[in-house]
Amino acid sequence: MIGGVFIYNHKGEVLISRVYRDDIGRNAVDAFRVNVIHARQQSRFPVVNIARTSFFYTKRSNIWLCAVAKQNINAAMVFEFLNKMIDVMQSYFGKISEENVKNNFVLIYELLDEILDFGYPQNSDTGVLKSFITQQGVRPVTREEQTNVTSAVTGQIGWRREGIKYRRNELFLDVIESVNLLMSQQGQVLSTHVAGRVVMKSYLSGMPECKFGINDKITVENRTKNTTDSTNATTNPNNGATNPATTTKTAIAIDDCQFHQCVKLSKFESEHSISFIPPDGEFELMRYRTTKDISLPFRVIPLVREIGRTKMEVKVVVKSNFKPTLIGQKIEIRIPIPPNTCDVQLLCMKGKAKHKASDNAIVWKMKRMGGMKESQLSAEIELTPNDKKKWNRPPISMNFEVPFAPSGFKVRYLKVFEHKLNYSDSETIKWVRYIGKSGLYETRS
Amino acid sequence: MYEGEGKKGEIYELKAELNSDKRDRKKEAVKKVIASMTVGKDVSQLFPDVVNCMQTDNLELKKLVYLYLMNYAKTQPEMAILAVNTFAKDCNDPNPLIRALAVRTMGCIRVDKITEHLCEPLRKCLKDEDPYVRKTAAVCVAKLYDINQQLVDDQGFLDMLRDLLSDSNPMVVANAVAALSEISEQSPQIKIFDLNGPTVNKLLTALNECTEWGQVFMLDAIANYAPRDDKEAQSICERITPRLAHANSAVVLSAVKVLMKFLELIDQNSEFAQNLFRKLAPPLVTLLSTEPEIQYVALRNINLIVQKRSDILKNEMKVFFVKYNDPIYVKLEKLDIMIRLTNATNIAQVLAELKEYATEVDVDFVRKAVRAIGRCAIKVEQAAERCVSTLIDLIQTKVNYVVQEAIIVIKDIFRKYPNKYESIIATLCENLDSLDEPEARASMIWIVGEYAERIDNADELLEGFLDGFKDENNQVQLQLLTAIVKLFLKKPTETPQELVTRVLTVVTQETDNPDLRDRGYIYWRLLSTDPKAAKEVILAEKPLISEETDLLEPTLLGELICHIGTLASVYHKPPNTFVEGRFMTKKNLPLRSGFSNNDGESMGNGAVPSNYQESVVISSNVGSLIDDFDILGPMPNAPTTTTDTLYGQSQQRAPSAIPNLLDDELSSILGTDINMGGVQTTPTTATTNTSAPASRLTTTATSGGNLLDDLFGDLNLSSGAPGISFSSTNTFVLPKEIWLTAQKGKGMEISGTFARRNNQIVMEMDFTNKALQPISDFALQINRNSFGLIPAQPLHVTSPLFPNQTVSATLALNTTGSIAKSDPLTNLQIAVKNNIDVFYFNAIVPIHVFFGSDGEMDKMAFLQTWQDIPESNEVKHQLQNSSNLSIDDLQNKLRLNNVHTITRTTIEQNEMLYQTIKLTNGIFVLIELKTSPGNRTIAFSLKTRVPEIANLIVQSYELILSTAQGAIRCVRYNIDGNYCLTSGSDRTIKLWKPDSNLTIKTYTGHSQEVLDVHSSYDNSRLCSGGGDKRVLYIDVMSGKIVKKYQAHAGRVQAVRFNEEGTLIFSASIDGTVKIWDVKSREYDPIQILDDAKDSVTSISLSGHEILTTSLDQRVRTYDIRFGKLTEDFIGHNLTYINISHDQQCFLVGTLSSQLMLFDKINGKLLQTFVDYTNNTYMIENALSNDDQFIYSGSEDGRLICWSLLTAKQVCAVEHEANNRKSVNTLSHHPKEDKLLTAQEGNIYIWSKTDNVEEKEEIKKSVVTEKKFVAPKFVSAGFE
Repeated sequence: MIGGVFIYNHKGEVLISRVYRDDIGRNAVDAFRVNVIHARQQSRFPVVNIARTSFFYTKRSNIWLCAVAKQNINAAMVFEFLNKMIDVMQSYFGKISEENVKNNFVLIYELLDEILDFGYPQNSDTGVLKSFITQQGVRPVTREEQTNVTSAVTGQIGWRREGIKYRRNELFLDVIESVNLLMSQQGQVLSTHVAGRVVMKSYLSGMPECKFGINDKITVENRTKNTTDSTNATTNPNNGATNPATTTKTAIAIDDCQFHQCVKLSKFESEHSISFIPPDGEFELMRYRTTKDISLPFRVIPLVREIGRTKMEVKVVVKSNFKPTLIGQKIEIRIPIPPNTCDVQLLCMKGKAKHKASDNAIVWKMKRMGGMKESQLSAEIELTPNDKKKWNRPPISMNFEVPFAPSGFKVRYLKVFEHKLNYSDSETIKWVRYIGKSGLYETRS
Repeated sequence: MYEGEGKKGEIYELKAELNSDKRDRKKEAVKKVIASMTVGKDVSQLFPDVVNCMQTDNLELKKLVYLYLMNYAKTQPEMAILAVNTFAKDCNDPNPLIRALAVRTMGCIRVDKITEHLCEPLRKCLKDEDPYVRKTAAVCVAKLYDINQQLVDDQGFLDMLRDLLSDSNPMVVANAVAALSEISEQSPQIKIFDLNGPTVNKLLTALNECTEWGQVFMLDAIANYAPRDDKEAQSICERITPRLAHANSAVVLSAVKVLMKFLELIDQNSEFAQNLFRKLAPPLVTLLSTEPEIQYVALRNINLIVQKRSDILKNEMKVFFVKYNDPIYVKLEKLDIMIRLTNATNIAQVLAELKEYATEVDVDFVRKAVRAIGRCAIKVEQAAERCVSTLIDLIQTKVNYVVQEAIIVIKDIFRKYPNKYESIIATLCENLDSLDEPEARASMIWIVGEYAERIDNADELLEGFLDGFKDENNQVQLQLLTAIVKLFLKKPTETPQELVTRVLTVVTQETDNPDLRDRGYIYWRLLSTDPKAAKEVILAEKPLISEETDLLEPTLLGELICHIGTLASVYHKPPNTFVEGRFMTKKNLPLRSGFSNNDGESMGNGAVPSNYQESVVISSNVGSLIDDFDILGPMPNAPTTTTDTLYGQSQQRAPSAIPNLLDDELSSILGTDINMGGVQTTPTTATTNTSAPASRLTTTATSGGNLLDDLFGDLNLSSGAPGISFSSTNTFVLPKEIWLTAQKGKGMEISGTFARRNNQIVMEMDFTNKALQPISDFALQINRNSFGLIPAQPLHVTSPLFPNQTVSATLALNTTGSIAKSDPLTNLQIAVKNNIDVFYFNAIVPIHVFFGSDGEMDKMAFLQTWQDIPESNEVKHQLQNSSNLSIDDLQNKLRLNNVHTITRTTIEQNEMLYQTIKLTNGIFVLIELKTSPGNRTIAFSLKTRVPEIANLIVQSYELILSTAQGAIRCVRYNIDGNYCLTSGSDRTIKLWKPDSNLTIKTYTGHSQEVLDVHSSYDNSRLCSGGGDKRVLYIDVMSGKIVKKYQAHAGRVQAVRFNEEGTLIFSASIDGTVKIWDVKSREYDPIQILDDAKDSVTSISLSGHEILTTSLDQRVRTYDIRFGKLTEDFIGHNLTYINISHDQQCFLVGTLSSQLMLFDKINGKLLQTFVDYTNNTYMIENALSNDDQFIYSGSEDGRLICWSLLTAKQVCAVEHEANNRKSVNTLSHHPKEDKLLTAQEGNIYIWSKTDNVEEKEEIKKSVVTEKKFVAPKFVSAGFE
């Protein structure tokens, strides 16, 4: 298992060092600094084996996080753990920076003591941890409260404590999708997928059981089959024939989905229903991925012409491809240009365009853009004659935000049941929001 | 100097603050200390001050102090002890958080003294009411095990940990699983974490409610479980599949690991498996949208999975397309997987992508992309042309490293598709000058040489290279040499002779590289002596390049699949290559056991999808093997046509009816006889009710009494006769003979033999590979035969078998197969299949392996049967008793081979033995043996209903009697040394006179080997103990068993009489010493000494004290007068104890090759005697009568003597030259300087010559040896 965890600043100075196992020597800290942080050639792999010791590392801003092990341990788990640890630290003190780490080192040690025991990851749920690792000193707690804490740490429902009360039972659902696209120069879609997340903020009392319904093809089909079967018996068959046609249209095929640990996976497997007892506050309920029938909100059409050795002409057309009533926001198009650019003449119909010499790119920003519109930018680029290095054209990338889910994902229902406190499903106030964002949205130029 | 003072000042300040009264200041100070500690400053001087802060109710402060303790306790163990009290107190704190904290921290302090104090609190916390404490305690056991394994064992923590597997709280279960997994990995030799069905079930249940990490622990543990059959594997898979939807990638990968492993056990073509394959793909793809580091781990694993089952992801090519912003390590991995997934349908897409990548900036990536294009060409033949043209396009870009890489791959393409793309050579030649990397230059030169006849200016080109020959890399030089010679051979007329001479001269005279020089010489000689031969050698056809050279070797791949998710899967290396120290068990994929014998059609013509899967899916080929086999050789058409009633009969019986055969047979023999009044009938009417004959039997017993008397005369049953059942262990085994020669077996040689082990017929074979390539995929099938032998399980041979390697395989056989008479009767036709061919050969099964253990017969039944069988069926023979076995030995030896002696009698000084044998197919054979005194021949007469087997039985008797077997378990002088007692694994005890080589009496009554024997002071009684858990009390004169004590739970390793001979002390492997009162009528022990924690190995008595040794490394001294027990911890596993004659010391033998002499009174170690071998067996030792010398046997076949005072070896003599078998037992003569020892079946007496001096030279002469032709013993080694 994990033998130790180290945190370094960008210079390679140790900020935190916690060793769990005897087989990790004191020189392990230095070995990593010398061989990875200070190495002349940047290491190309996230796992390095130095003198039969494996170092797993990741970097956040300029802080190095490193886990060490001598055994053949579960590598996926180590990285998952490092990420989890970053999440926990962030939720305690915000951004991971040298200053924050230094100021909170006692807290970090305390956390490390709690979430790793002898190198075995233990309960790392932020909500639960916050219930008993505080930096306010110890308040005198009653015995009951203590057992609540411990049962929360170890209990079946480790992510929620008992006795939560809200005056208003409210929940917020955010469906956040990022659209990933790789398009060839000729406008051919090379690959596309939507990575979606359902983020829930729950402010519910007691131990509510929730049931979540989406327009997933399998569940919808199951349902329509059942309903058509029953309707067929009563009404005329013509109705039944049109019915499924309309429902399947709105259903989407989800390639794969993953759930927060609170979701009962076995139930999902057997009945395809998503039921869970939510943690308090914000959490990511579900992640999913779709690849079929994605409506791409924008299309970029590049036209690059090299005129001689010192001149280049770039023309970029952006088309929005969604309902005219909707409005896309935060649109940013990044057009890479050669590093030996010396002057850029820009002309755009809408928004603002700038040449960012430091990034070797033209950045074209539009605050908003309606559906079914088109806009254009043309640029003349002058180059200094320098052909030492061939310029390979990086793809044009794009950022945006649209108020719908490009995959067609729809929340059908979210029901809340609380048996003890007896507030009904209809009393809960529910909010749903769809956000479509750009992931890696690239067009090769 | 100044700085140093400053530091001191800082420490001083901290010290003051730590001792401050104010809590806040204290806490701040501790924080400062921890901060300094982190940076690497030494703050260990503050130890006492920090520890003082421990006594606080502030949890945060406490945690800080504990953190400090963990870091520095090791450097200050004396000080750390101060903390123990607080720990103990905290473990009782009402707050569970504090209890858990204390247990957690204690386990991290690796100081022996603290560890000792840890046990009690830990025990309590393992049973704590709060699950939080229990889960922490579970991990603490693993910590403790890392510090002191012995302690964990002794304290029974492992059992407690196992109990936690059934805990109600899933997190506790998860941590218990984690701890147990780690412990069992550390000590793979002990079965600590034995997963079984119910445990796995528990885990699967807990899995649903566990934290993500707990799920990982559990899945990893389940992956090590071996399901019983495909059904169980399937149901586990079903329950694990939901985990694939977990958000934590470690959970997903661990679930994938379990599924991949268990899928091996499930029929690949079943719907279930196909379904599962489909379900595996989406979660793997989803892993690619995680953080880059996790992506990397996932990709490395996908690389393995794709190699194992390429079809899982065959439709997912697109997701592996490289993104511009991917880190380089992700890019390279994706590229690798892309090539593996490339096939004819997606090649166009892939090629377009690769072309795109070849224009990127990262040099490594571009190179790999170019190389990938070449690999595509080699893999997909249809696309080769397109790939080549893409490469040409790339060469045209003139980007230096792209060109070089392209040329390297084009060389491989030329080798794969010779004479196809030579048109591009011209383009390649244009770039000759820009090549600066050795590999590229060498490749180019190879191309020029290979196609010299097509290149007009080849000589010029090569000459150009030759000019700078000395500066070239070795690889290039070698290539250049060969190319020029090739050119010369291809175009001898045009090539300037001078060019060849020049290169050969340079190579042979001016170079230091032996490879180069030798190759030069060879070419030179070939060219000068025989140009034709040179042509044949140098221009020989090259083997085509294989398409998947970069695939992992299948066994390694299998092992790595078992490690999915772990570092091994990331490095693509087995764990032992990068993990230190620990003894690792190698994991392998489970093999599917679908080797059913008769119905081959179910898996008949299963086409194997790709060639490398073949090694795993053996079963898919078995069907064809069986088909082939059925048409082999002439065979009787159907079993029913065999006229012999015997075969018909056994055919009718269901295979499961084997145990009942005896009843059937008996009733058929007896029942009919009684009804018919002695008239002979055939036993085919075996339909009589089986319960009826039993009662009839008793009636015949009374009525037929006279008959018996007539035949047997005065019945004189030996004591070991039928009343005791003998669980036969091993019968004798013929040496292996060659069944299939390497010549016939295309390089595979098989030698083998048949044996009966633990009442199971087994085939023991050695497979030797004498071919040049590895052999794999072994399978074996047996043709129908007379005894219905069929394999009980599929053949398991470690595969592949590399050249010149030999492996042994044991195959258990059943006799439930279909029957066909073979000729000769015991002939067995065997077919062995491997990856090369199927081979058929014959082997003769010695008939004695068919002797069943259930062949005992009632006396009356014997008599009846004997009379029933016609005289014509009687076979008489003369056996030679060449080794002069006594009648007892004869009987014993035969009994070991399942020849049962029904009765024994003496008629006119001739000893008669009446014996039965029952073959596995139910045939009874009745035998009469007659020995007459002074005559070495034994009259043998046999009766059976199946006369064909008579000769075979005679042969087996001859074999059994001629084999001398033996080892002696124990030798003992009696009280005055005039007689000695020996016991052996032939289950007998012999009394004999050592000086005359005369066996006086043989005592029987043990059903397994006799491990120890002791005679009472008046020589009237014996006591013995053995592997059958019995203690026998035997009368010496009559040989009768006076008492038989059966209360031990394990084998009895040592027995002793007390001085009066009224009590027997017996020590057993069950960890107890039991004391029996022989005068009492009770059969229960009067006292049990059960203090030992492990098996008790020896006892020694001296006056009022009993000393025992045990494998728990302790010597226990029981003082009978005071009822006091003294324990001495020795620290080694103890095997044998002897008390010195002056009663002051005791000598113990240890399993660490040292004898130790201790003072009995104060337990002080007086002397250690070394330089002999004792690691495995229980080697006995002895002291000379004057306590001057110490003797011991040794596992290398020597007898060693030390001087007690100096601990120097006085002598060490070998028992037999060249025999290094262990000498386990020895006994010192009670009066004289004589020693009795035994090695294997021989007994030796040694006597000491007088002048003993400690000199090296006289070692050999000190002890003279005298060897006896000892009574023959039957043996098994003593483990």
